[in-house]
Amino acid sequence: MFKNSFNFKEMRSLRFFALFLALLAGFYLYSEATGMYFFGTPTSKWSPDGSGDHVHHK
Amino acid sequence: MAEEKNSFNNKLNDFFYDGNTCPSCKTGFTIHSSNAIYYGCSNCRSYVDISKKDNFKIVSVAKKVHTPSLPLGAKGVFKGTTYEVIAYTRCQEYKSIYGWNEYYLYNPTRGFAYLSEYDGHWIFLTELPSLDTNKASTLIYEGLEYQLYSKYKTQLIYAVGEFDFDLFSRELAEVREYIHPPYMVSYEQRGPEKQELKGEYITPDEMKEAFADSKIKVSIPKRRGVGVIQPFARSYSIASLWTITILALLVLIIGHFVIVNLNGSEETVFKQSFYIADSTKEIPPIVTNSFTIPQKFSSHGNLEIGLYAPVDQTWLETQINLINDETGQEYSVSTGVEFYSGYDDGAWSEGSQSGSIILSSIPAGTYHLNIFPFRDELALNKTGFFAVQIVRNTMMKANFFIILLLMLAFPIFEYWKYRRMENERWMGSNVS
Repeated sequence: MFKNSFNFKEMRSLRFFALFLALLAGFYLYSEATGMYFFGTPTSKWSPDGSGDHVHHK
Repeated sequence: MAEEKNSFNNKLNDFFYDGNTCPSCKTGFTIHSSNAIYYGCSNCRSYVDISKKDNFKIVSVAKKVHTPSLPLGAKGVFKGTTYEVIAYTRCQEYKSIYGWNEYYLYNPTRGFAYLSEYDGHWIFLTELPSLDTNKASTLIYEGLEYQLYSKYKTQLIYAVGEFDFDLFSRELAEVREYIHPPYMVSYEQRGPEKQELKGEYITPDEMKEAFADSKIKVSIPKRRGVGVIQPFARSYSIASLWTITILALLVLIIGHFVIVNLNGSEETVFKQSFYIADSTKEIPPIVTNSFTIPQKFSSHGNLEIGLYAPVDQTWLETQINLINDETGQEYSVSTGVEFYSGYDDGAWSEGSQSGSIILSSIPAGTYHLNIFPFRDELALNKTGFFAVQIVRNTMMKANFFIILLLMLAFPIFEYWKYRRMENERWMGSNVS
């Protein structure tokens, strides 16, 4: 299958797929660097400035 | 100069051979090639010996008529050359039911070319200089590797138009076909005579375009199944698709290890057990000491909060508030454990005494926990203690596999379609 069939000209046809792969890889590496877990448990947040979505427990 | 000479010769040939009539039905016909010695009449199906201009002889009459998609006289343009259809044959594999159509094309300057059609799949063929195939299973031609696809004997069952040989009295041709879609090399041997042809796949749309200006209209049949050299209709090859995918995966894996190396591996930042007095019905809130979530390559990282409690036929639920000592930012989650077991038709159990949750992108800093535990006060076996553990930069396998799946989905789908097409193609082979 791979004999005599690789062609750099074909890369032009695959540029959108290459862009898709690059975006996926970039997104994965960003998530890995920042600890962003796709299935992370939702947290409710609260800040001293009053923003947030839960009652503050001291 | 050469073209003028050819043109003159052609006019001479037309003058000499035009105005012939079939000895059976008296239908007129034109001969294009000065070498033509047999003619198949499309009107009465007579096969006529025309080697002697003044004495045409009927050799045979075809029993069954086959109607060609390309009538004699239709003109089509292939690779910039206009060819006229001058003959048609219906061929059949010897001792087989498989039949196909062949068209003889003629251009006064370029000579002969051929079109072969089977199930709506067209192949344009031109003659090649002699090749030494050595009856091997592969053939290298113009840098491409061709695979032996089929070998068979050809039997002619119907012919119309002009021929420079006697189709029906000759030996059966032994044919070997080598393919490298969309190309084919056909090696034909009939006794001492050899003929090599190079074929190229022509789509039905290309056929319609080729005969668009023909005064004699043609009918291009619809395709069925997969053609012998029908290409996988993409502007890229499966090899290029996989090459680019594998390159992206390499970038992903290398990048992953670089980031893991910079951020550090898993690290436990908090671990503590909490005891509960049995006499206390309501467990009071717990405020822990401060602990540090260190900053690494990134200021943010994930946290895995693990909870363990020796629950047995009961449950323990907690609300855990993670509070940043410096900013006051608070992250609140609920998590719990439960474990039940028994014996009905057999031993059973459900739940677990431990569990964990993962929080995304928590900034580095100093934190403490406010823990609000709840337990089943009616349970016989009240829970006496529980433990909480927090791990920084835990592995996120699901992230990796989700991205991997998204990256591989399209190449796998395309490869599956490619393999399905190849399997269907090679099902028609008699050598695979």
